Amino acid sequence: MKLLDINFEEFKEQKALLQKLKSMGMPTPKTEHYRYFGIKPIFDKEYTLSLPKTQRPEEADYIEIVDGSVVKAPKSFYIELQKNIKIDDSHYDQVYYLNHLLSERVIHIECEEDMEFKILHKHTLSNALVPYRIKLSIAPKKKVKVVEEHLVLAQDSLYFYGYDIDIKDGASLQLVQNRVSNLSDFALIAPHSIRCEKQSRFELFTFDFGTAKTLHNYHILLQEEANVDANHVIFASDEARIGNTLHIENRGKESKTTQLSRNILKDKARGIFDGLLIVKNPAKYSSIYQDSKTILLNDGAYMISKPQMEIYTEYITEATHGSTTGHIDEEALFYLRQRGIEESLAKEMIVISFLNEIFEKLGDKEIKEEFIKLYEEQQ
Amino acid sequence: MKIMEIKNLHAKIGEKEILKGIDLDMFEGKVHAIMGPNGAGKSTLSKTIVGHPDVEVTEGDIIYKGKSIINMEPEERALEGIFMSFQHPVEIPGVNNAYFLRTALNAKRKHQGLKPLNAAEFLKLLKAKIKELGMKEEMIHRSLNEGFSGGEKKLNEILQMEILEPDFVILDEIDSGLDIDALKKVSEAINNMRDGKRTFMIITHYRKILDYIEPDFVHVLKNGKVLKTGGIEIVDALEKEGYKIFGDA
Repeated sequence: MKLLDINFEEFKEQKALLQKLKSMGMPTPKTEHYRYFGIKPIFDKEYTLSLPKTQRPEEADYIEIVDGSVVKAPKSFYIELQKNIKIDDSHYDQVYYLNHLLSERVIHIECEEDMEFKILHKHTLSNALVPYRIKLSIAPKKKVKVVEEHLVLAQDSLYFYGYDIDIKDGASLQLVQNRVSNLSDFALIAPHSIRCEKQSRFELFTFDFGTAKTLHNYHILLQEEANVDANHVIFASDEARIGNTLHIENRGKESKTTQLSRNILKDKARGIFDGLLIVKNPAKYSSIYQDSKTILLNDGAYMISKPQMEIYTEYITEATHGSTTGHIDEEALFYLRQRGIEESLAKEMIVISFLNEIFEKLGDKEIKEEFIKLYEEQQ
Repeated sequence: MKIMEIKNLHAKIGEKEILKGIDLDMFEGKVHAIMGPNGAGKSTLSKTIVGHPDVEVTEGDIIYKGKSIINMEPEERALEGIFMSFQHPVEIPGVNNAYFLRTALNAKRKHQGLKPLNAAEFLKLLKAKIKELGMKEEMIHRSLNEGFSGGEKKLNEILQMEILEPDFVILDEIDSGLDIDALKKVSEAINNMRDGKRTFMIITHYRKILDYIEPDFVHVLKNGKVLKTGGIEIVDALEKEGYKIFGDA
């Protein structure tokens, strides 16, 4: 099947979703958040639709999802496959609705205690279209950390997945998305919806390393005194197209958004950072901060950086945004070389220092070491 | 004994020829002061010696310890003992000062066939040097030159020099931006490094630093050439009459 040939009549029972998708239309190269991603060849391909199977998960100390099916999970976790969940009715990405339409049942993980766990996604099916979704509910005042990893073995495939996250009053979630993919004909589109209730906190760390075509589209809503700290690292090479687009809406008063994006691009890779921060009228005394910086390691690499703000209130505490793209600072490189440090190591020191702000904020040595290893392998 | 011979050196930056036939000999264990008006080529000369990629040598040679260095990479020259204290040391956020210095020192030790220092051994050495220089210990954990005052940056250059123990030191306007106390401190540290073997090339506009670090030779550069070589009496003449007394190259 081709995505553009989907017979929507088959989904007529899901009226609301269908109506939403029809009103937005399928994404095209002119759709703003897909403009630089190269959506057409991905949507034009023939795939075999593979829907996740229901099975009883084996016991493990982490959650493993293979091609959309939960195959391993801790015994103590409350995980169910849920139909007709409440969806985000104002997501900017039509693939969010398409993904829901194709994913009849959603993996629902309920977090009612303070907890920390890992989700491993395995993408193994070639020439396949695999849709699935995860719903994550964080109970009031609970503190949760989720580390997500992806193992990509599929070729010529398109995976749709994404989170619907509800962070209740006073709760906090740290979501670390560590996404490595070195298969250039693998594509992943992931529309996420995150709702942050009163006084909640959402920390997002995304690390995209590799050569694949992946796009994550986040719609984040902040209620009163809620706080989001979103951090993105992209290290893309070859002909990768890797991007993060975000619409973050400060809806409640004294809500706060901080966003950092650090990108290293090599060969003919393209990076996309398209972040729109919106402060609605009721969100008085809110603050928004956005900063995107990119190092291009050679001339063929290309960065699309679009930091944007829309502010609908006169009473704002802070609104700052900026974006820079350039090559490695030659004077810094020379300074290190003049102290006897060989050029390749000097470059590595500068590149790592460029990402250090995010690595240090997360405080996870393993991810930093993994990046250094990947960087060294690329040299 | 000559440590460096600069022979008929011509060099350009972009399309502009700046060095137009420099001939200069520098001697082991001596202090050579390079003076000259703005645009004379002083900083280009130091950049040429250390192999800055902006500079293209079009003619002539630089012989250091008996070997031509003009085709060597900047790091190879550094490992051979050439050190430059930068006029404007760059800030590199995220590169920890101590990590940077240990990496540089261990690169040199490897070049010399010595065992690398581990973190504890290096920290002991670094702390001792910091104390000697009267610097704050917190700079160990700070990013390289980030947020340092002008004086702190220059002292950090001196700290690097003390750790790396080079044979040939270029001080490119080390006195610029320093108040009198900082200038005294930096000069004292440099004088402590004078051991009769180490050579210093001090680039300066002003006499003041030469009151603290007495040069063995003074060379006057103008229009990309060495116009005059002599002793401290040259500085006295410059103070009275300015560079015009030496005419044009």
